[in-house]
Amino acid sequence: MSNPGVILLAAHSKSGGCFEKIRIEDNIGESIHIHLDDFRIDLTIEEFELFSKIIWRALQELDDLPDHLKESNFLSDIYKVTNYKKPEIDIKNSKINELSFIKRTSFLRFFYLYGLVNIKETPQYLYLKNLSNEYESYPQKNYLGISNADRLESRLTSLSNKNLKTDPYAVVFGKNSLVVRDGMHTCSIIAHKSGINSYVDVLHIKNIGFREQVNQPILWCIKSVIGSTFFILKRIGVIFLKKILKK
Amino acid sequence: MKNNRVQVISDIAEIINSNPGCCFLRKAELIFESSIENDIDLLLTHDANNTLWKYLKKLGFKKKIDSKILNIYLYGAQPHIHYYNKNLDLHFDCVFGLFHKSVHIISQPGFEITHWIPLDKSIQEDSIKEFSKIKINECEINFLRSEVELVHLLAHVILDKKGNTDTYYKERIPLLLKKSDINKLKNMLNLVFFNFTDYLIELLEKNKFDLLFQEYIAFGDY
Repeated sequence: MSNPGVILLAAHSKSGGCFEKIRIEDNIGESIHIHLDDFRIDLTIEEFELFSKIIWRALQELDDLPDHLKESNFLSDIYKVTNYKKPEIDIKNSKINELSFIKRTSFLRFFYLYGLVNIKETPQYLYLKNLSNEYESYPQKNYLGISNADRLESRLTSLSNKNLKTDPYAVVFGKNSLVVRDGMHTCSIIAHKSGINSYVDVLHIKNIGFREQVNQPILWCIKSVIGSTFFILKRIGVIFLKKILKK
Repeated sequence: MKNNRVQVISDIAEIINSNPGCCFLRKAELIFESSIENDIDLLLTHDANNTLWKYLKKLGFKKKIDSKILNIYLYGAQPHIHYYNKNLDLHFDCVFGLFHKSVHIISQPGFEITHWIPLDKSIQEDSIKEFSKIKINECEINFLRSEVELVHLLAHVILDKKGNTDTYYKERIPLLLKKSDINKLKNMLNLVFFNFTDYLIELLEKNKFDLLFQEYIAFGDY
């Protein structure tokens, strides 16, 4: 009996340590599965929510973190960027117009190209200003059943409900970088509502891992071309292998 | 040309009837109104498929098998086979079991990889035990029994179409719900939708067809 309603909630793999792969799947109507290498833990939603809360609390208390970082939605991602070391951060007040944002463009259908653009050129901002509908088909991963427009609308609603002054809106890697790695939707909304010269709190992660230091748009383009080509070749290879094994 | 079409569809119905375990899968009463875009869905055995292809090949039909690069077939699911003829404006979409799309999709730039999963073995076995029949244009048409058809249609609407329910299904589903043995139906739905089953039936009884997919992925009572 197989459940067709499987949603992958999170996945992470890392060599070394007590386990290498973790996958959390929602099997709709049945249970939440946590796969740790070859082991599987089945939880009800209530149990999973309790488990998540405990893990989140543990993450908050793991290092002597500043309070605003403890409450930040970015916290779990920040640990990945610092290679699981204690995050060293700065919060700076920056003008949105002076920040750079990463824009993804489709290339030869199967690849992405990445470039840096000003807030005025982001698909989100242009969509909010009714200047372009490009955002509707902008390639980005959303939750299942959520369109790009839904996502922007939902962020718009959550921003108007939150205390805007204390929460950092964007994350950049490095002490002096101006390239926003997370927070393009939020910055676009603020720029749309209050103007592109508005100031936002930007979270600077100072102790980023080597991988993040060299991870630049030109490298992402190369990674996209290699990654997609490898993926297609792998699929073709698996099909041929299955045919050979059948014979 | 119209007569040719009718003849081809009638001949296909005969092939279906003479091969155990085969039937028209959906919209059986509309098969004579089909076209290239509105295909005829067939549930076949491999033997019946061979017979069908021998017949259609002579009439100039072309064959296309769904890509194994863009689709991953799990637990015994198999690709759809399409036979189409532009001159006759006919398209047969053939499957070897009740296979549906999983909600799990792998996204890559420019394309998505769809996972296909068969409905539970007991539903598959039950689906071909016995068929319902109607007569159209002097032609006997075999199609799925009410409970199986309803389970299949709900899986089709929620999983394959991601909730995009066309008018035909909005009319057909309540009709099948009335005709079905509710206990049998629940037992089958439980094997596909698990704890969502009772709420699904509640949504169907309230004719909330447009909410099926959204409510399914947002369901949290388990």
